[in-house]
Amino acid sequence: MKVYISATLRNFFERNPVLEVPKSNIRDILTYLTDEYVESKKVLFDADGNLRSFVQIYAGDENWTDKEFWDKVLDDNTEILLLPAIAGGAPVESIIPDERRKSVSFDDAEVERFGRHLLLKDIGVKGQKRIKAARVVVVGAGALGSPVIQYLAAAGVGTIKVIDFDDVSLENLQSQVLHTSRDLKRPKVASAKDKVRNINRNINLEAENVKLEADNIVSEIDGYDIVIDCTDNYKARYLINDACVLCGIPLVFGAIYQFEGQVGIFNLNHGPCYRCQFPAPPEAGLVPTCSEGGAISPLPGIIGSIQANEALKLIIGIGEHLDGKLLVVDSLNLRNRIVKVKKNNNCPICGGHAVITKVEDFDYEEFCGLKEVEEEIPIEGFTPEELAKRIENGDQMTLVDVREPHERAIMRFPNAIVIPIGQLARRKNELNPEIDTIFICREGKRSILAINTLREAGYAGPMYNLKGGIEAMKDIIFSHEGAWL
Amino acid sequence: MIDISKNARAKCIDSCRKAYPSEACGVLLKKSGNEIIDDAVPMYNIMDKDRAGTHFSVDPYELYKLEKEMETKGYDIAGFYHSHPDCAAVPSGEDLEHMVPGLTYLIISITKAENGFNEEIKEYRIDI
Repeated sequence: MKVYISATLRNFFERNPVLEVPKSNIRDILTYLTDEYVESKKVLFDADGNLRSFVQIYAGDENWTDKEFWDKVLDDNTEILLLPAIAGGAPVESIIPDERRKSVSFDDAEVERFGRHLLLKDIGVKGQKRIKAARVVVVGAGALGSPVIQYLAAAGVGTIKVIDFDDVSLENLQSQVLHTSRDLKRPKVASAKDKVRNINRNINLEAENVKLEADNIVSEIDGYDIVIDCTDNYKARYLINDACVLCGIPLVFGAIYQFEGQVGIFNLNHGPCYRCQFPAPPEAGLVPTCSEGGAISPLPGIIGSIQANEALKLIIGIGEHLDGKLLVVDSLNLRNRIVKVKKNNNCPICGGHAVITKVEDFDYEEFCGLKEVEEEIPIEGFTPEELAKRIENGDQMTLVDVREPHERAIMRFPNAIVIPIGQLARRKNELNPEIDTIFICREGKRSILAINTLREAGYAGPMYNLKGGIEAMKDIIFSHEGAWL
Repeated sequence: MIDISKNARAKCIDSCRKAYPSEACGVLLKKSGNEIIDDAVPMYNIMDKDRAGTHFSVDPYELYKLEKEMETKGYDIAGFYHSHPDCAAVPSGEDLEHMVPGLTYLIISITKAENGFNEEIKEYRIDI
């Protein structure tokens, strides 16, 4: 196999332009080269053994730099090219125009309040003025929104718009440190407003107690400098991304799940967007949201703090940031990595031939699998009240709990048999097709998946779904059952 | 700082002006055995137009062809140059990531002035 070494890399291969390597895939060729030319190893690979950014490997005219190609067997006549990637980008510039920075000033109290920022060479008076001039939208005043809103307020961001349609509930207090017991049942934006007022009365906090939809999102975010996505569902993420692309606003994305979190910056200077990295959401019901899958309490604090830090860096115009990158944080094993996000030229919203030109024209419900699908055989279900009545009447039926063991440990469903969803098809003989079977999960979504699975497996007995799942039913039958842990 | 011939310097600056407000880029050449940059050849910035103001990238095949051609003419590649329109002549993290150790990198800050442009050239190099 002939390997051509670019003139720019030849110094590390004793000036040889072409090397004959008796290997037949990229991985073996690289091992051979770095064994033969020891000096090349630390030039081509970083300390973690990853190929450095400036190295590109071509097989014929195809770019085979990515590791996924490294084990493919090469044709003997293929010429391998080792070339440098000649590329770069301008240093970060503030997204706040100079005129706006110059139009703000500080009083004595502000100089004292922001002293720790003013001391930093990279922030200073100029940077702090940019922070004060900035107008930031935070979507979601929940787990991620809690640190984001508080840190932006503490840092002195002049205008913060908080959008959330929800009220504070008891389960929110495990991670949403913006809210306290006194805020229960109040709108989340109301406690956000109180909290920010207590931090700094001069901050203009715009509280919007609305749900973002295709018909209102553009008017909510247009004219702002940054949008920070602190939501917990795919529909909102795609909607926010698309509106940001159309309005030309950079987006700081964050997401958490159980022990893992992600942060990224999308749509900065026409850079890659959320859809470039995630062209489609996972199938509905497959990946639970945090409200279904859970998350460890400090995780949103970590991820949200990084989001706030990234937003401030964009505002000030300093540092390296996550443009075109996704930071993945594993809080359980304390391993972080940064994944590169490439711009997709065929992206339907930010690519060369974008087909989505208005958010109103795109069906987000359908895209995210949230529509009540009109199926050939619709799935019938009982409301919690109807099921409670049937249980009270002593109707003959089989109750099947399809939740995972750790979920059942929180709350049992009385008299239900337990078949996790993955075992349903092969255990269908345990069900009696002569009587009604009612499927139960946490929120009534996985149970639909369970019914469809059994139908596909050929089960013909009558099947019903508990609408809203055990969550919707717990107040009806469990209050006196002592079923709670 | 490495010496650069008047001709090479003029070619670099000219290509930065022509590309403004996009980033310009190109290769720096030296005659084999020389320690001065004798010539510069602009290369095409393949980034999309709306991205080229803050990014540059070169088609590796164009470089492959160019370096073969320059070899026959007795030139070595000394390094690369690129411009930062309306921005300081300091390397970004992305610039640093893409620097081949040992080569010379010139970053040219170019800003609009009353009569034409102001330029500032800085040299960078990384070692391993």
